[in-house]
Amino acid sequence: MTAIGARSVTALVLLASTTAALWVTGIFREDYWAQLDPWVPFLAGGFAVLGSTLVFTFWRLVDRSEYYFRIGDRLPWLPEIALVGSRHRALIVGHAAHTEVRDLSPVVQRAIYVAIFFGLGLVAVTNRAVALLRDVPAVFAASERDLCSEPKPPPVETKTPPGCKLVIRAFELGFTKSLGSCAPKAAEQKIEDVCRKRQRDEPYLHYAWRRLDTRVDDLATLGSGPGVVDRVAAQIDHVAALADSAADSVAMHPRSSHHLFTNLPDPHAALGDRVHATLEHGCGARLAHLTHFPRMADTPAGAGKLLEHVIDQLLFNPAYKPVVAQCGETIIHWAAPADACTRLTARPREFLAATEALEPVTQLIAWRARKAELARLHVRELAAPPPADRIVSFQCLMFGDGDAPPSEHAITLDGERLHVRDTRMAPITGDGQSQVRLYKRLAALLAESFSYGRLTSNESVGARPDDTAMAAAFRDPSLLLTKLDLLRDADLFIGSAWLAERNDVLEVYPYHLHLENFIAIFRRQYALHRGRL
Amino acid sequence: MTRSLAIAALAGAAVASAGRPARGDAPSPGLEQRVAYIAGLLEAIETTDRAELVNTSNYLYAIERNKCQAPVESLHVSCVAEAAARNCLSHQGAARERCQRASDVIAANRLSEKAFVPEDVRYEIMDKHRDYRPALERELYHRYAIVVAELVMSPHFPGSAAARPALAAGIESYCRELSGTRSLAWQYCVAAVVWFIGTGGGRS
Repeated sequence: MTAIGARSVTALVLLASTTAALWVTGIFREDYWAQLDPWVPFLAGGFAVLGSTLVFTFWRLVDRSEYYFRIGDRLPWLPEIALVGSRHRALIVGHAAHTEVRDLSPVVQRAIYVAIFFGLGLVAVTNRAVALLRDVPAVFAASERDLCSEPKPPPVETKTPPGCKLVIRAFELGFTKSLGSCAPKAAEQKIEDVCRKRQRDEPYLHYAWRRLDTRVDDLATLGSGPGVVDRVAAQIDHVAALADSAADSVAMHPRSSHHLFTNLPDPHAALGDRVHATLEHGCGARLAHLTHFPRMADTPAGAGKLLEHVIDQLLFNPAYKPVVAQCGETIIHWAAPADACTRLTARPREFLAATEALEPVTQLIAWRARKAELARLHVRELAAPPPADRIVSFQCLMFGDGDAPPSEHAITLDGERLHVRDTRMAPITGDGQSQVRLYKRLAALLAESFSYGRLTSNESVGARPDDTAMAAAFRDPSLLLTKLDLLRDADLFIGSAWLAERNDVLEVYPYHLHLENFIAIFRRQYALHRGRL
Repeated sequence: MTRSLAIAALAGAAVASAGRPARGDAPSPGLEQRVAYIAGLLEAIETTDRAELVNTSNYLYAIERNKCQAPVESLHVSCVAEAAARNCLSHQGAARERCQRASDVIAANRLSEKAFVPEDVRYEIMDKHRDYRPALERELYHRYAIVVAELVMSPHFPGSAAARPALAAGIESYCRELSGTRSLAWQYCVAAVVWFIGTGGGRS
């Protein structure tokens, strides 16, 4: 039974691995050695001697191995483990303190470890490393930048003062002993700021202590404000607000809460839609594929989906700038009663509780109150939070008989005055004009004082082509592509009724031109009235 | 006339076989007419003599840059359309129709320059090249090639061996989808693709 000592096996395996690594990294190549800085093998050699000595000493390589490897039957009386192989012929590792195992001599083992560490050193130390090491003293040395500049002697006035030429000449010729007021003067020395960097003759420890002292002083006072002790004392009374505010920020709670009540049925009432909505994190995926002007599906959910699409476009679509709202913070309450806003105005708390809108609203108002409290403390650079009616709002859009412009009411909730805006519009159908109506009605509802007209449109202001002429131009099919450019001056949002009868033209209408402009103007107006905490 | 009817019939068949409306499930209004028109445009660009295309392009370029300049966009466009139509009056019958279609593509491409080459790129080209027009044409062609590459990789592309009406149907639906989701007008997309494919698709 021949057993080989674990120390020898380990040394040989490590040597083989290191050799393979060196081979793979190309260190055995001749051209590598040709370009190598002589300092590299020198440093690697030093590292090898140091590393191998440490290993040799701490692993006690001078002793024989207590663990061993062998091939054969496992001996039941010895603590042996069969690693691989069959029952009668397996690779076995065992432990026997005094068993005679074959081991490489200590000198050979030491040589192997020197070789291993030399190899590792060659991998780790390169020409670049040597160059960097050479630069170390320069890096640690104090640069000119870190030191105060040398005091400069005041520059001597070299210009001859007016009227002094003769006096100077007389002085030079010895006719006078003094130059008097014509004597060269040292220029006035400018008063410079005290240099707080390291003085040229200042010991490093003194400089370090001075820096530390300054930092401690800075901590104790914040500009001209109160000291750290005073500040902490003031904050202790508001610990709860501080903690809650931090928790709100970390938990990424909604920073606004806008609610739209509509009597349209929920377009996602099906189980599959609900599961999909639950699984959807954010609305990025949905918004990435928004079409400009989709046709309304001819299903009961079609109107609801179109309403959702228009809200996405107006408020959230990142293709238009600026983005003025977050999709999770504007909630549509489907199938709301037609008199939702009347009920909301009459009994706000009860109505909101019934529609599950109370909790998000009150939480947000409480967060805002905490922010206001912290802003008064001046603990951080916190500005006063926006008014509550900017971050919380209620709108009702009811579809039914006739149109009615938005009317505004006010409610008070948790001491905050909030706006409720209510409007009605005729039912929407699958035609393009319905969608345009919906855009205009929603824009007027969501942004107070929103208006869109000829002056704000992309249409040419000066000479808008006559509708009849435009309609006539499109009756002739020739030069269709060129003529479609005329639609730049046919903004659906401010008229162009002839287009309503030309579904074929609407199919290729440049919605992006006018829609983008409409949304940009809406968002500018919306941002004046609504925002986030 | 007979050829137009044949194209229209083939286009109808292509639309029916494609059966893939870009938006919604209902068929797109005017789809057959648009597909037939695009097939006609393709045929016009492919069959018109290269020298004639260049002449028409130069003529419309000069007209658009000089006589048709107007502060109102509709006046500008109407003027270009009128010039394109007038330029084809010397032809008769089918040749006039073909000339009008080729002119339509060229005029639409002329009008779409700003959409394809943004102002800053245009200035850069003008700054770098003494005779900037060929450089601008190359840049436009490069950008048309990108649109065509997207079409080829899209599900709208009927295959390289497809007949002209099927290709026209693919161009129509692809450009409708593109204009419905991005800021490129349908007619600009169609004109770019038709010009690129019709003039040899980078082979020339």
